[in-house]
Amino acid sequence: MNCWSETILRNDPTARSHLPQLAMLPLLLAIPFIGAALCAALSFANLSRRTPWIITMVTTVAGLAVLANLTGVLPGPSDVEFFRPWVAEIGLNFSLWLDGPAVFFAWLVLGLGALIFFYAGFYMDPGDSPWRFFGTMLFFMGSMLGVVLSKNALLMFVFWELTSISSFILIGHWHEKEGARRGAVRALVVTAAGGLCLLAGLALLLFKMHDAGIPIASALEWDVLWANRAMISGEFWVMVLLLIGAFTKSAQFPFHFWLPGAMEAPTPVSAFLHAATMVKAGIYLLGRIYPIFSSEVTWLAIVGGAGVLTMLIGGFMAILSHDLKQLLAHSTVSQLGLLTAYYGFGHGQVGTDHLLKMDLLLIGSHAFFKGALFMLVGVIDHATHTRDWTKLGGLIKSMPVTGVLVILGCASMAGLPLTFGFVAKELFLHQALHLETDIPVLKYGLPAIAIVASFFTAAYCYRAAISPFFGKPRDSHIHAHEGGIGLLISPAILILLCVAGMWVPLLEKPFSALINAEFYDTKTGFHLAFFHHVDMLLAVAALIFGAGLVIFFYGRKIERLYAGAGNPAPFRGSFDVGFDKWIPAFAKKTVHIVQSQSLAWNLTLALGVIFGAVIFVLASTDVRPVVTLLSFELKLMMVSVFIMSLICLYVVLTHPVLLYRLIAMSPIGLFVSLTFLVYKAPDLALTQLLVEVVTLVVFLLLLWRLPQRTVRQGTPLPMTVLRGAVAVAVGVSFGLLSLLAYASPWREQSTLPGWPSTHEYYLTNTKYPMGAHSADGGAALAAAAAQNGYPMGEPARSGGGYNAVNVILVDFRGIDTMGEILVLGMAGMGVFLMMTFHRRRPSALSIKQSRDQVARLQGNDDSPILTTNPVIKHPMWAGPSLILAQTTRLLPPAMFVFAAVLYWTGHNEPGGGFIAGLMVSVGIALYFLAFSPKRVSELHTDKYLSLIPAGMAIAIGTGLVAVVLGHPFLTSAFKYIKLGPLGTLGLASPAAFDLGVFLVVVGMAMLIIEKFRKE
Amino acid sequence: MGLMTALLVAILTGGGAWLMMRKNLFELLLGLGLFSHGINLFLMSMGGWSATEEVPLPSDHLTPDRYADPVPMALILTAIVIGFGVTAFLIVLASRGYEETRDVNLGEAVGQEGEE
Repeated sequence: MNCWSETILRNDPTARSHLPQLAMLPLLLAIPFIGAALCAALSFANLSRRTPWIITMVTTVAGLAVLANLTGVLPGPSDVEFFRPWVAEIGLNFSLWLDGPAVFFAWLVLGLGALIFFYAGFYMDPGDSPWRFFGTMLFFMGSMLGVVLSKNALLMFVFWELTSISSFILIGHWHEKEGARRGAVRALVVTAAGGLCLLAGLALLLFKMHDAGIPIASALEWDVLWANRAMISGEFWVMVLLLIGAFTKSAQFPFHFWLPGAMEAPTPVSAFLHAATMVKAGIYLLGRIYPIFSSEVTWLAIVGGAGVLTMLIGGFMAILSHDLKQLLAHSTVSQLGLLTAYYGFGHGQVGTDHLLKMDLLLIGSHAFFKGALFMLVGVIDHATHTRDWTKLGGLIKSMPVTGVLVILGCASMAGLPLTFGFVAKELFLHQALHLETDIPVLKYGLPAIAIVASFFTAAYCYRAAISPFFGKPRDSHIHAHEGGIGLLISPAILILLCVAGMWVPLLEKPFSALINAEFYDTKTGFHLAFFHHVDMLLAVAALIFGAGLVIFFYGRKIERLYAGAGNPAPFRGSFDVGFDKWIPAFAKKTVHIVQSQSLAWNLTLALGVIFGAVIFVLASTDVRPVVTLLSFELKLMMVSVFIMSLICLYVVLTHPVLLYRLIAMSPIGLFVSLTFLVYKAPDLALTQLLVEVVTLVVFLLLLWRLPQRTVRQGTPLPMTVLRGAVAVAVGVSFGLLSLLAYASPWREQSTLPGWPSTHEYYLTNTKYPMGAHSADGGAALAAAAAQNGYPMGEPARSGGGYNAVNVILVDFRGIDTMGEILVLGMAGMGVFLMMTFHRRRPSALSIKQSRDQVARLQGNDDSPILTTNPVIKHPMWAGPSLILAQTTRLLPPAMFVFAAVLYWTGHNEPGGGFIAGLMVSVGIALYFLAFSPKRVSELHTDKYLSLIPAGMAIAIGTGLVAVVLGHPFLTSAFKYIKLGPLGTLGLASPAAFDLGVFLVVVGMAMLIIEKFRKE
Repeated sequence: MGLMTALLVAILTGGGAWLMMRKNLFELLLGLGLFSHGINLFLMSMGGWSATEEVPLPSDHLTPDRYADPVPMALILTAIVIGFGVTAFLIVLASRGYEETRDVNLGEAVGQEGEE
């Protein structure tokens, strides 16, 4: 099985003879990318600045050779396909094909690419970043090939986005110019926004196809979509989203404004991307979805409507342009409108009428003459250093070849007989006059607009062909000369193709071959006509040419009228201004909302979004069965816990005095601890209890330096309501989730048949496999384990202790615990750093504050803070309580002993290193509360700071011992030692690990006490 | 039992969220504490509960299903420890921040980047 074996060959019994060809299709796609990569890689080498151009030409010619090998020189569709699943779960496959349109566009991209790249070699200044320029051009060419060769709609989207990106880079090639930067950003924002719509549309399409029972893996292949078009043709929003994608790419109204701005790019870029190929990607997409949606009348209204409006606006803008390149840019907008409208007019004609199949001919004709004209304007620009037709004139004498070529190109653009453009115009007018609809607005409105727009088309063609070349030179400083052969050869070839009316028989074969593929498959051939029949079309065409002439002559007058109306930049201008003004404003506003400087607001937003979504999901979940599952056994203790918690919570939430809120926090922690007890989790209860005590002490130490009353801020009511709603959402979400989880505890869900649940696994392995015990349950499980081959019973896996929770912590999940004490250690270091940082740089504020503190301690403080502090003074100074002091003489030593016991027994009974560490910390805190700072300093807490690193070192060292012995990190080992009356000592390596945990916790407590003691 | 736990979880997380969304530094700390309690109990409830279950100190004469689930317990224990470390850090940070700025309000006073 070689890697091409998945490639499918259709309808070809002689598949074997084609095998070398199978690699050709992906190779064809890869070639431009290889060239681009080569340009990127070699750009660092010290090579001639001509090299990238040579690489580009070689690459393109190689691509053409491969394509010709696949399709024949007179191209026809090929049966070769390439298929590899990529992310089949979302319908994304790497599938390429060569149906009619794909072949046509591939030839267009590579062929025009070769001509334009050749031209670019003479046009571009060799010192003008040639590596970046040609590398990006090749990258674009590859992306564009990907768009047209993809058989999968999602794969097409991937390449679609790549064309947007390369277009962005190329428009901004001269990024020193502000106009280029702005044009590039504008093009990127518009096309990327459209790309997102396209993606959304494809996702929706995927869902619809899935609902219709189509397997996801193949749902987004074009042929599958077409075959199932009856099921999806009515999906209005899918259609709209896909159309937005197409319209943004092809600069259709109302997204037309980015294309003229993109003309800041070097001329070869304009000719290749923004006239001949990339802007055709949207048209291409229209062609692909045309069979699916065109039966809907909304298709006619939207596509036809947008098309003719774009035609009109583009044409109008073109006759107002003085810059020849801008004129061509607007004419491109207008012509793209024509192509779009052509697809719109095809409404109701799938498989019935042969005319729509000529869409490729329209596209090709436009690509030829528009690519050529852009290049020729570049030649004029080179020769005269201006593109302003109001300054040019009489160039036909000094630039005869260019002049003739431009005139011929414009003739094709205008659709004069004997040109390709003529055929295209005939087809378009025929379509426009034969709409398949009974809605009068559409049936007569659309053709009317289209014909009026054609007046402008004719007018700007006259303008471009006549104004620069005839009459007297309007600016005597211009000394024109003919362009070199290198610049002229490419446009000359394209113009020759445009006037190929004489070549009918030659062209007919390839085109009829192309259109016979798939949806373009009526077997009837067709005949291209290059002369008018005497019919209504002739009359309309005559009308257009005449009206165009009138507009041409009165063009300057129209211009003045328009400028007189006080709006020199119509349509495009207002869109530009809107874009430059509103998009940044929108961005600023959005950032202000989602990323404001306020932590409180950011949190509100995040919680609101997350739990809004959770509520949304829960709302569609049926929770009633869960509720009936629950036994409403009202344990009295839990009810009282709940009620008391509620009361405490009320105080915490609302009381203005901080001390009370803090004190109310404590019982809540104790109630949580009680709940843990009810859940049979003594370790948790003990830990929670101790943590609560330590936290309370630390909180109290903080409290005395904060203002005692919460100043009620004037929060606006909507804000309060919003916060309340979010808080309720959070509470309800977690409450419901808790219920849901409770009703189906995870222990009952063993994910693999034959394997134990986690619950079972940990409980069994905690002790049973030690062997010395006659374990009934364990034996059964061990037998099952042996049968199923899971690792139960391996000595290395068993914890050798009775306390399942602690064994999990220090053994099974030892690395988690390692991470945990590292976090603890880091928190301790953070505390330490903040402390020392403070000592070295006492700010004016803190000096003042220390003075305040002294004053407060001396009881004669009159600072405003203390006046808001009716309750406490320094907690250490609350007056040494005799009882507390006396108790403290006895209690902490007892606590230390108890801590030792907890540590000792932790592996088998509730306890462990962490709890022991907390116990010691509480003992120390007790000293701290009971005695004066002076007395506490005798404890020399600062000497214990090194406990944290020591603890970490022990914990890590324990793990490393196992590594040294050749086991995985933290593998545990244990040995039982009989100690007579003291029982059996499990001398397990986890004990050493636990010691590390213990030391880190004690060190942390010492640090915090140190921090406050010094003040 | 499940219902009572769920109610407790709801008021603790909801109350915690409410406090965390306010601008006062101290309230943020309190809110964080409440929220952690709520989340820990939430985890606990995921293990399920039955009146006849034993503390998970497995001995030799009971089958595993007679014990409470140790997995959520281990998770919560870790959560409590980390919560303790983070809370301690935040308390010192808060006190330090207050010393610097003399302001318990978060947000605008903390990150002043100004208008661009």
